[in-house]
Amino acid sequence: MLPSSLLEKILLRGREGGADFTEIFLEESSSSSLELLDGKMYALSSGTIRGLGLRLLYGTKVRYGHTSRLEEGPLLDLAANLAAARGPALPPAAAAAGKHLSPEPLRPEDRHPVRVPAAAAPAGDRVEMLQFCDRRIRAFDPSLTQVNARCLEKEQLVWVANSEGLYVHDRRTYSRLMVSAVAERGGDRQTASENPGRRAGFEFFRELDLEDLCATVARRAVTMLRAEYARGGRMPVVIGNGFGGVIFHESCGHSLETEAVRKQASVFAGKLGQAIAHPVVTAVDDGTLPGVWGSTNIDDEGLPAQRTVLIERGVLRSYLSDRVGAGEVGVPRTGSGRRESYSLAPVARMRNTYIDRGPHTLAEMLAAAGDGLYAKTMGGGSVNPATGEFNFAVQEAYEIKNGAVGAPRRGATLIGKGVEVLPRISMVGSDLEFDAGTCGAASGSVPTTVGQPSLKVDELLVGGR
Amino acid sequence: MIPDTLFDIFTGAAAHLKIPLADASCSASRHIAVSVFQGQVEKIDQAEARRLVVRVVEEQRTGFSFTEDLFPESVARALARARENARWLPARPVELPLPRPGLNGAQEALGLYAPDLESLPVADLINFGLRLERECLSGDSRLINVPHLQVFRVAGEARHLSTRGVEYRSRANSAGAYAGVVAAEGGQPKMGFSQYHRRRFDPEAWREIGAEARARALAKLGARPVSPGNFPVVFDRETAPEFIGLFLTAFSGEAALKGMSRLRGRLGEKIAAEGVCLEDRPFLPGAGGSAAFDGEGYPAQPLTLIENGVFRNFLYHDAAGREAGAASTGHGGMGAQGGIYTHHHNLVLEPGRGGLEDLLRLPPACLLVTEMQGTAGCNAVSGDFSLGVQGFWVERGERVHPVDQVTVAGNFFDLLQNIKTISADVDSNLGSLRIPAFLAGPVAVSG
Repeated sequence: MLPSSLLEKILLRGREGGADFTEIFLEESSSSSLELLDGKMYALSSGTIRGLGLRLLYGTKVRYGHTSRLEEGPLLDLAANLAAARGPALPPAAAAAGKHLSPEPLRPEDRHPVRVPAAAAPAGDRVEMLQFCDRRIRAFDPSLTQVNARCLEKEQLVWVANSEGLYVHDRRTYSRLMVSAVAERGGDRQTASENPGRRAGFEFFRELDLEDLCATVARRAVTMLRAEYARGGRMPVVIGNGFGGVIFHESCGHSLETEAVRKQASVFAGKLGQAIAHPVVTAVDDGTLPGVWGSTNIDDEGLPAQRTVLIERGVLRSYLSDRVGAGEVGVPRTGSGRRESYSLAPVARMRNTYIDRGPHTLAEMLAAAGDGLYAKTMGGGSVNPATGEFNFAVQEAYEIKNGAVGAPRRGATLIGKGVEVLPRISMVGSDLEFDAGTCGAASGSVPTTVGQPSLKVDELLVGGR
Repeated sequence: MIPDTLFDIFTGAAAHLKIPLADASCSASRHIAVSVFQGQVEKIDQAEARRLVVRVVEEQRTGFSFTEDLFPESVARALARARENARWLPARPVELPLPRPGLNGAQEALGLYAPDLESLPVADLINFGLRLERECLSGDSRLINVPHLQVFRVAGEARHLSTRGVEYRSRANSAGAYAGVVAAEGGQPKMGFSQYHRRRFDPEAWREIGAEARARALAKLGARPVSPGNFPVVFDRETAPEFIGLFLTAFSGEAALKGMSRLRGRLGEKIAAEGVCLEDRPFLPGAGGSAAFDGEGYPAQPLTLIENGVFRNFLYHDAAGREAGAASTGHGGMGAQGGIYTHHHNLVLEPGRGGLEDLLRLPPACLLVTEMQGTAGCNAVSGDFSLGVQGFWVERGERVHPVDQVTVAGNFFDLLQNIKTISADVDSNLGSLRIPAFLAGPVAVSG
C-alpha cells in the first residue's frame, strides 16, 4: 500500500530523536455487517479504515502516534512530532542507521486460507441465512418473541516494518454469526445467544450447522424463562465446555500478560516455575490453530504466531509477552503482541486460550460435586489482574442435586480470585471445545477464543438470590 | 481537523451520484495521553483520528457506510456503497430534517470548548503525572504500586451534514487524569481508583486525585464477605450512574418496539418509587452530554422520562418515533460503523438532600457499594442483575468493615420501585449520567 522506501523514511525520521527502535503498523481493513431484527433485514453497513501507527521505543519507554492521513508529508510530520515529544530523561543519540527494508514484504505461510471470498458470495445468501435463523428459532416455541441475527465479515490487511529490517505483510479474514433470542412470558423476558466465528471466508457460514445453532439458542432462552433464580452462596461448580473457558481467561489469563506482570500488577508476577494450579490443570495459549478465531499467522509486532504452554500440570511455565514486556520481565517473546487497530500500540494479549483435556467425565464431576451449580454456558466476564479479582455471568445453569443435573437456574454470577480458584479446579474432562469471543484490554478489542473441557471447581461464590 | 470544504464535498458527491437524500456524521478527535510508572514517563500517546459515517435513504430504504478518508473520491465511494447497502433492506419510513437556524450558535453557547486548553503543554501533563504518582504512594508503606496512571488532554469536532442543507458543527475539549493504586497487607492486594475529568485543567488537582486513590486502596484492606441475606443497599456517587446506566436501553422506544424493553406498554404507569424524577437535559452548560442537536440533525430537547415515579416518555430516534406514531425526541445517534441508535444527552436523577453519610444513617444496617466488578451479570432486557461488588458493611451510619467477595442480585425494575432516598451527592466529573448516591432495596446479598 505504501512503498517500502517511504516506510524506511518514516522509520528513520522517528529515530532522529534518539529512539533505538521504531516500528510501523500499517492497516487497511474492510468490514460489513448485515443485521436482522423483528423478522426483517434491519441494518446493513460496510466501510473501510486505513491508517498507520508509529511506535518509538527508547529502551522500553514508548512513544506512540497514529494517523489516517497516508500522504508522505503528514506521515513524516507524525514521526518528527513523536520524536520531539520524547519527554524527560531520554537523552538523544545519533540516529544510527536502521536496517534497510526489502522492496517487497515477506508473506508468512497462510494457515487460514479462504476458500470462498466474501465478494464471491451473493448478498442474498446472507439474507437467507439470517431469515432461516429467525424462522427456526421462532418455530421452536411461541414464547420466543424476538430474534436478532447478525452476519459480520472483516478482512484486515496489515504491514509491519521496523528499524531492524523486518518487513512482513499478512491478510486476515474473519467471519462471524451472532444470533440471540428473547423469550417472553407475562412481562418476564430472558435472552440467550450464540456467536460462532472463524478465521475463514464465507465457507464458514455455509458449513455451520444452523439447525443445531438455532435449536441451542431457542432451547436455552425458553429454559431460562421457566427457571427459578439461582441460590447464592459458596458451593461446588461444574463449568461446561467451550465458552466455559472464560473462567481461565479471566481468573488467570490476563494476569499472565506481561503488560500486567512488568508493572508488578499481576498476582502471578515472580511465580514462574511455581505451582499455581491443581496438578490436573494444563493451560495453553495457541495462536497457530488453523482457522480458529483468535489465531494469526504473525502477531502485530511481526513475529510468527506460536503455541505457548502457560501452565503444565499446575506449574506456571510461561507468560505471554510482547517486545516491551519481554524486555522488562526478562522472558522470551511469545508472538503475542496484538492490537485492535493501527490506532493503538501493541501489548501482549491472549489468542486461543484453553485448559487442555483431562481424565474425568462429566458424570464423575457431577457426582463429586454432590450439591452445587452446573454452569453449562457462560456469559462474559472481567478481571483486575493486580488483585486477581474476577467475575463472570452464567447464561445457562442448572442446580446439581445429589450428584446429578437438576432444575434450571437463572441469574447466576461467579466471582472469585485467580490465586484461589486455580488450585480448586480439581477435575477436568476430555470434551475440549472452543468458542469465539472478543477481549478488551489496553490495546483495544481483539478476537480471542476461550476453550476448555467441562471441569469442576471445588468451591466458588455464586451470586444469586 | 475537519476541513471546511466537507459540506461541499459531501453534497457535491451526492449530486453527482444522483442521490437526493443522504446525511452524514463526521467526527474528528485529537488526544495526547501521558502514562507514568515508577517515576518515569513510560508512554506518550498522541494521535488524530477522523471518521465519516454516511446514510443514504432511497425509497425509504436506508443503507450506511463509513470511511476514515475525507478525500472527495472516498466520500463518493462511501455514498455509493451506502446506496448499494440500502437496496437490501425493507422500507422503513424516515425523514431527514430541514436545517433549523440558530442551532450552531446554541451549540457553541453550551460552553464545551475552552481555547486555552489546546495550548496545555505536554510538559505540564508530565509534571502532573509525576506528582500524582508520588502523592498516591505517600504517607503509608502499605501503598506499594501505581500500575495505572494517565494524564490526558482530548479535543473533538463533529459535523452533521445533509443533502437538505443541514450543516451543524460542534466542538468540545477536556482534560483529566486517573490513578489506580495498589495497597497490600498480609499478602492481599487491593486497588483504589480515582479519576478526574473536567473542561478545565487544575494543575493542583493531583493532590485531590492522589489522596482519594490512596485512601480508597487503604480502606479496602482487610475486606471480607458478609453473611448472606436481603439488605438495603447504597450505591455511591460513582456506582449509582454506573449501575443505572446498564439498564437505560429499557427507555429506548426502538427497544420497546422490538419487544426488548420491559417498559413496553407501560406509559403512564408507576414504574418507580414516589419522588423519583428522571429527565434528559441537553442544555446543561459544559456537561458531558450537552448538545443542541442529535445525530440525525434533529434539535435536542429536554424530556421527562419518569415523573414522581410515573413513566412518561420513551427516547426516540426518527424511524422509531414514526413507527410508534410519535415523533423523534431528538435522541438519535449515528453509530461509528453505521446504524442509528438511541441515546440520551444528560440523564439527570433529580437529587434530594444531604450527602452520602446522611444516606448511610437511615437504615439500621446496609451494604455500601463503592465498586462494581464487571457488568456481564446485568441484562437490560430482563432487568435481572447479579453482580460482584465491593464496598463496606455499615451499621447505624458507621462503616464496620470493608467488604469484598460478595454479590448483589435482583431486578432493576423492582429496585426502581424500592428507591428509598436520593441524596444530593453527585459525581462532578464529566459524564452524561447525573445520578446521585441513593438508598434502595432490599437486594439479595451472597457472600
